[in-house]
Amino acid sequence: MLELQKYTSKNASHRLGIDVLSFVELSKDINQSHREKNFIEDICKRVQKPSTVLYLLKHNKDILGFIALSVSSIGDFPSLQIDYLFVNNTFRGKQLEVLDNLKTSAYLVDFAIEVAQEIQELAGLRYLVLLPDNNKLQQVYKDIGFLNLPKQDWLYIKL
Amino acid sequence: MALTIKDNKVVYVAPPKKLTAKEKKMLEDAPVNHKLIKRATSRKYNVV
Repeated sequence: MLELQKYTSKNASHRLGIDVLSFVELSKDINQSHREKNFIEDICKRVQKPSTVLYLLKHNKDILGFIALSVSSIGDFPSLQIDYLFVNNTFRGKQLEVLDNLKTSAYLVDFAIEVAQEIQELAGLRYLVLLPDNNKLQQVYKDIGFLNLPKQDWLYIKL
Repeated sequence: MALTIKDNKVVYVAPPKKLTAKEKKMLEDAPVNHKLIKRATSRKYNVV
C-alpha cells in the first residue's frame, strides 16, 4: 500500500532522524552521503518545532523518499516552501508504476502542489518555491515544471 | 531545498524578501502550469 506518513511537532519523536536514517539508503558518494545525513538530521529536528511538516512516502515496507514543507514568502508573496526533498538512493531516477509512472521526486512535488492548492483555498498562497542543492537538481526541478528567477537560485511554480 | 551547508553546519536559507520590480513582474506574469496542477490535484493521496 502506498501512503504518506505525516510527521509534525505533535507526533514526531526525538528519534525521528535516527529512524529515518535507519530505513533509507543514502548516496553512494561519501561526501554527498554525509551531506544528506546532515540535512536529514537537521530537518527532523525542525519537524519537532512547529516550523516544518514532513511526509514520508512509503510503499509497503519501502521508504521511497520524503518531503518537508513549510509556509514562507518570496518577496511579499505568500508561498509554500519545500524545505527538503529526499529520494531513497534505491529509487533515484526510477519511474515507478505505483507512482503513476512518475519518479519519486515528481510524485512528491505533485503532492506539494496538492497541499499548496488546499492552503491557497483556505488562506491564500501564490507560489510553491524551493532552492535546489546543486546545479544538477536545478535541471531536475525545471524538468518537473519549476521556473527560475533570474540571478536567483530559487525556483517556483505559480499556483 | 531551503537547507545548505556552510562551515560544516547546516543552515536554513529563506527565499529572498526583497525583489526587484523586474523580479516581481516576472513572478506576477509567470504562467500557471495548468497541466501540472491538474495532474497533481486529480490524484488521491493516502496521508496517514
